[in-house]
Amino acid sequence: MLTRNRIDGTGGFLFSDLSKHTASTLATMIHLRWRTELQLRLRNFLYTLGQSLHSDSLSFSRHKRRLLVNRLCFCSFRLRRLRSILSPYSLQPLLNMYGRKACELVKEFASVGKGQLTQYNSDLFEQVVAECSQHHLELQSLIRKMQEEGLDVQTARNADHYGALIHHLALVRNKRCLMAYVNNRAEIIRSLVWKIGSVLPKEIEEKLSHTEEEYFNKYSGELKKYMSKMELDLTVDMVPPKDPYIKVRVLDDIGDGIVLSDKTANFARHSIHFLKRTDAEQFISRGLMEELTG
Amino acid sequence: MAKYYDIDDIITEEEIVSVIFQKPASGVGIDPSSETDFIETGSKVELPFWLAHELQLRQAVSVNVPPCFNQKTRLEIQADSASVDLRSRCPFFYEFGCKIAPIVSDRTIGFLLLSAFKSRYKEVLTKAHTAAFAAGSKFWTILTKEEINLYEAAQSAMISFKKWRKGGPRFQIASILGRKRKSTE
Repeated sequence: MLTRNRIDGTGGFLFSDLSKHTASTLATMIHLRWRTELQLRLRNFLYTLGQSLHSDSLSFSRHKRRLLVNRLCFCSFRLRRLRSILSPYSLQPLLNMYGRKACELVKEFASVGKGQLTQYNSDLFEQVVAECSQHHLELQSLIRKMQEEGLDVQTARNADHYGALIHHLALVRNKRCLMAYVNNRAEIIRSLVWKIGSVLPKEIEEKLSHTEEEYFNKYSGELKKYMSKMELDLTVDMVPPKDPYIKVRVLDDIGDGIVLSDKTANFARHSIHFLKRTDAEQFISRGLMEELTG
Repeated sequence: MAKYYDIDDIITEEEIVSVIFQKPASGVGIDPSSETDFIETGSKVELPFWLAHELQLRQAVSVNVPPCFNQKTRLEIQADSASVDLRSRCPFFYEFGCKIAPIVSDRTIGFLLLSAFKSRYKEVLTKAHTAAFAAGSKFWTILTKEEINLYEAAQSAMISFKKWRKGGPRFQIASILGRKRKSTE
């Protein structure tokens, strides 16, 4: 049963055991004085719960899931009824989660450190695109409604106009999030070509989508064409050079008989070589060798 | 629009503000608990900032001061701003404040931001230059995103300086591949 001391200082409470409560106790809680904030948190919680029930990553058993779905329906039903009772202390409705999914996509990208990539989230991407088409449909229907009423679409400012405006803004926002997602990933891929060269390492390849891999290949192809025209290797000397030769130790098996610019070398593991800096740079940035100093 | 593709900007604009609708809007309810999809004039709604900003430009809503700039926060900042946990209130406190200030009818937000930043900046710099290792201190968890950027910049400057003094390997594995390669024996 819910007791006072479960309520923390800000008037909220721990939602971890919310699902244990019946709808009636929830209703009672809402009747207590923490009305508005509680309603807000409750709705947020129910929404995220409902969302997570659809996601595959949730590790609930089927039985528990069904239980939660029942509770969810009951709670939202009770919420609706309560809203009419409590209307003077009005609920603050959250204007839908317009643009939430798109923001989630962007946040997922930002959640790893700067310059790192996450797995390309094609599901979420598709969902956001579908949301965009839906907004577009609603927008069109509202505009059509205005035209049927004989209003001039450009200048009339009635409720439909503002509704259409909100849909339009949501559409533009979704577009911005999607563009930012793709663009930032493309930037990271471009910098990858400069650092690592034209061969994609396995662990990065898993994280890219098909089109991104194509982008990588095409970009490195163009770079190679340009460099061969200039007869200059632009991807070396990213750090100002001190010595033409450096000492390296081989970390991974690279193979034998690799042809370098001035000799052929056999790279056995843990062997130490004295290589030209320009040759060694690519191997070091891929992690196959490390530089030895001193 | 230099910040169109900027990720931090997008996340900043997602913060919730509460607004009061001055004009009705139809066909928009995606609000799970409302029966109709019509928003009346004078109804109080919570919107994400990007929506509220645009609607305010077209005079369809009036924006209230968001909760992270309320009286409680102000008092705390006046008392001792260096230990106020700004991140839990709003991880983009300063950015958000800068965006909110022109559209909300409150002139004091600018001064609040400035005074908070001035006193916290000193703390950030001293801790960043002298802390032995970043993850250990709890100070890290109360900083906003902008302050964290400053902190990290200072830390990386210190590290580069020490490296230059000591002299270490200058070629690094590409950062996207991760720091350590596991040596498979």
